[in-house]
Amino acid sequence: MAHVDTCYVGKRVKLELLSKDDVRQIHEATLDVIESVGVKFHSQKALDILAANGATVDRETTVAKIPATVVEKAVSTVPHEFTLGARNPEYDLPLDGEHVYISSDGCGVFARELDGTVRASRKADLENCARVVQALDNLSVTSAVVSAQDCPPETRVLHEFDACVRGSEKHNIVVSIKEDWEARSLIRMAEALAGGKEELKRRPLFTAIICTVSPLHQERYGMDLALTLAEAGIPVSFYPMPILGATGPVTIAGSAVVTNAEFLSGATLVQLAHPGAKVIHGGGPTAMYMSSGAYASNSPEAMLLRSCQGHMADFYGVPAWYGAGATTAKEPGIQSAYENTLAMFMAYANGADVTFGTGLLDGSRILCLENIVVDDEIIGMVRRILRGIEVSAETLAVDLIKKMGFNGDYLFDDHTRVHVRELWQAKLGETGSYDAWKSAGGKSTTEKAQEQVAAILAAEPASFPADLGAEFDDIIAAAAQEAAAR
Amino acid sequence: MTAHAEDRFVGPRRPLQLLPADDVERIHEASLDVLADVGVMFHSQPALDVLEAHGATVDRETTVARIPAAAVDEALRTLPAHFTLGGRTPEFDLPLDGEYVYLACDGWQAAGSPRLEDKARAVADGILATSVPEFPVELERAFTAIIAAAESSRF
Repeated sequence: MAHVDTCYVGKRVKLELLSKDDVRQIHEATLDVIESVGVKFHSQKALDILAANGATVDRETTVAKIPATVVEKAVSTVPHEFTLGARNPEYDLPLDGEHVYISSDGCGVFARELDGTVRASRKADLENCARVVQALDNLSVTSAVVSAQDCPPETRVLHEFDACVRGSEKHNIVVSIKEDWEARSLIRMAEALAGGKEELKRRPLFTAIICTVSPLHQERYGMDLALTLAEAGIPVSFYPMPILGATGPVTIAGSAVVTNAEFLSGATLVQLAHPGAKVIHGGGPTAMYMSSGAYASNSPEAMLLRSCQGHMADFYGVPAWYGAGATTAKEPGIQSAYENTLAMFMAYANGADVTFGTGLLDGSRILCLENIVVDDEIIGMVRRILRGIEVSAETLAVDLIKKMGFNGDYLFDDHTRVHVRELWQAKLGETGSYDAWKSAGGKSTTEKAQEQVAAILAAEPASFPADLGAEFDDIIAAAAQEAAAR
Repeated sequence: MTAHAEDRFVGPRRPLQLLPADDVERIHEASLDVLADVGVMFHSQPALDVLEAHGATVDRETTVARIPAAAVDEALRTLPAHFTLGGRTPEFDLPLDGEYVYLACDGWQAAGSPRLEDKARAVADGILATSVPEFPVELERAFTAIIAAAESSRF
């Protein structure tokens, strides 16, 4: 079965968290904020475009107040469906609302060794993570899961992309890009990989996350980048991360407005400059533990707040790619499993097309490869649940129930043979008897996941063409030289 | 409303649209069809008496009762939609009205005990050590007598 078919859920089971009227109210409040308060665009280029299209721009404060009519016109040109390309087209991912995918997370700064040691992250960690993503069937997207801190800061983003595409044939999400010239080098690498400009536009091999700064700031870097990437056909995921009660209102609906205003203002700019550019409703808004100030990425309120994004994305008809799975647990185990299970279920049941992502502990700080193996199992279960229950004459099976009467012989009937493959099967979890588990060594789920990681890394990695490798090295070397000359 | 139940209030729940009303209706209709056509084995003569008296076709040998849809619908009319589960102390009374959610511990495995992770075990031990409420002596005596009577009638 093709990778994309395993990700199909169809018209999924939906959690009706927000009513249509709630969604409309959030939309109208967002338009009000964007028009009356405005959004700070720390980019003169962005302000030029907004001013030319009817926004009231203050060059000194960099605030652009964008009328609702301008926002609505811009929203009318967003593409409702597009496909994320992969190095190997077998892993191309249509974003059509009927498939759900998961990427690895980003961007942590530590890596946890299998023995529990935690150290600064390196480029090799990214490549190992990409290899794990490549090997696991339920994972669809690689990412700069941690920072390649052993590489020079000027070319780090390029090294991170290099590691991801060498380790895996799947789509990549670029996380920590900030300079426009980084984007240009990255696009050159992706064009080399895709086989040209037009091919990259058609099948973009990476998506860029552009973080906004809450409340209501769009960075210079981010906006200049978004414009460059949109022009090259690269999907841009605006990524607001307000914190309840700190950089957004403490009420969920209020912070949903801040999140939505940051997405919508960024999307508006990009659509005005490049109508039809691929944009994604992204974001990782969170809560905070008020007693300590700690990041609460998977508190119930954080999950509810992020869930609003799926509903708003549906309303605008854009794909939703938002945070889920960034457990605050310090080690792989019970807490990481229950937090990520709930976070992923909430995200997909509330309209996420892709979640970002799996693999980090401690609130997106520490890479833990075995946790990806566990999340691979979780998303398999969640996806099966989202496919829901088919009710038809064939599945109600009343004729069969009548035929069987009081005999429990369903196992031997054709009906069972025909439908049995629709059942989910555990890959990691223990499903046999207690005695069988005990006599096989009584291993914990974490130990089994670690063994799987070790086996993946011991196997031969996906091959990478030598000439492309050399071209990548040249592009990175040229970027380093340019940086030195600046 | 007791404070315990109040803490468990969630209000009208956001439904997960797992089955549309149409699908629920189809499952109901299919169930009625099976009850009337195939029937159900009731391995209890008193149960068969009751069913027969209310219009079911009963086969005493096979213990199968075929229950017509009208009898099922009639029975459904008298189901209480809401009621309250009593706690040993009224503080733990639990209204079942669709707006509260409660958690029970699991049960029924005869042997063995569930393997808990150390931390969970420690928490459980802590609870067991600190919060066992006093059980009145007269109730304990009454329970012992009832269990003894049940055991003597069984053997």
